[in-house]
Amino acid sequence: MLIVKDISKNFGEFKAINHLSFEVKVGDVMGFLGPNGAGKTTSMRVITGYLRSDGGTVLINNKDIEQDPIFTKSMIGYLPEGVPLYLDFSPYLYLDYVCQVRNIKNSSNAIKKVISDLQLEEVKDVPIETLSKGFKRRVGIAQALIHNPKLLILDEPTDGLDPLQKFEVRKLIKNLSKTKAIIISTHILDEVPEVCNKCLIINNGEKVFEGTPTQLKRKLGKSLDEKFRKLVS
Amino acid sequence: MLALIKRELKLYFITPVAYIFTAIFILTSMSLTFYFGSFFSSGVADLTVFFSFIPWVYIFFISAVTMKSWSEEKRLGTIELLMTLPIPLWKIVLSKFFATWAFVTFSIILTFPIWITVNYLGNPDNLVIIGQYLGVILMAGAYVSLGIFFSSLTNNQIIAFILSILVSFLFTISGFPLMVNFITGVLPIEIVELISSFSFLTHFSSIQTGFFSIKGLMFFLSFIALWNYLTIVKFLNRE
Repeated sequence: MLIVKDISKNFGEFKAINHLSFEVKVGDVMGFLGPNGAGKTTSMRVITGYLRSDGGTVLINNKDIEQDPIFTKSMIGYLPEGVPLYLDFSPYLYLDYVCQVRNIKNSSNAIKKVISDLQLEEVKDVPIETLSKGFKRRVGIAQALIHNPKLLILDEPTDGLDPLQKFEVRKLIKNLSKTKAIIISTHILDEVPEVCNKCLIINNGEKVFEGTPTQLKRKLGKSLDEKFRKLVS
Repeated sequence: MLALIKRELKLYFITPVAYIFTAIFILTSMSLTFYFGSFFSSGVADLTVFFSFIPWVYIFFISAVTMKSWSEEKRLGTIELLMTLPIPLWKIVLSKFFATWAFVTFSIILTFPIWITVNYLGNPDNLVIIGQYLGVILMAGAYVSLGIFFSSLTNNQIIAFILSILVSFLFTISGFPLMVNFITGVLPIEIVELISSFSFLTHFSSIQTGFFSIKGLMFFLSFIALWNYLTIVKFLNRE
């Protein structure tokens, strides 16, 4: 589904991503880990076509994002870092707009489905500005899911949610993974074995580990937190 | 693209901002006409005085309307959602332009009571007035395209506002008689002509007669195309 080959991205002298390669298939949930400033968000921005890489290729469904940006963008559902949203809109109005720009047929059903999947019924007509952090995040996930994308890229999807909401979102991600390729960036390490079947750790823009959560455990045989610190220090 | 334009317009009208902007535009243009333009005492039944103030009102009004257009998207981060939609960049840029232009046109149309007033008081040439209205709407497009470009440069609305005022002011004033007389003494005549040929006022004066000159029409259309193109280039070159 997604093939990332040797991508690099520099901001002036600073190398944000340095020759990064990986693959995600349908059915995979890849946990994307790394300390702050490791290049997770930049990588996601390159894959979604928001930033242009300085080298390497990104293929989505075997199509190069540079050559066929409209097609590849239509395959992606994306929750950017910090959950940007139009704060004056209500969730319903916002999702309706997303349906229109994405040309979704039968939009009222699509909206109904994501609103129920993410439990947004009670706030669907309230301005997004007045919603709690948890609800805002769920609206962000809803707009990423509404067009039923094949590739889902979520930048810290559970950040700011309470334990119950976290549980619900993880359950949703697990259910979605049957038909989608999913990347989630997170800094909650316990989340990784719970939802992910793949794990990629980067530091200073370079890959330091790629494998399954079990392999990660086996590799160092310590608690996840300790392993993480060791890998990125 | 239509969905994007609709969203832009909804964003204007969902809050009181649009209504306040429109009210200020109407109040300013009217009060300038009545107090400084001696609308009644001139004793002429036309709207030339009213239209002659419009470019000066535009400098502030349109800069204020366009200042948040891109800078707010940048500040909120929603630009990331916009740019990752499966829509070509030119459509995204043009939808912002057309929506803002439509909003400004809406405000201009709401000045119609002054048109009714002159018709009540005398017998103006209404065809000329329609021509003048179309002219100021076209000219608004030029100010809008310029303001939106400056909004794309920064995530700070105030900076966008000031830059837009400054540049629109320069483009407006470069053909103003005072300015032309001043630079005629300093610069060679060819350069003076070149500068004043870029002025909104120079082209606006032909529009003010109510008859479009092809030159004026082409000037404003190319001006709009140029600033929209610059905005597209700005985003194509983002890191």
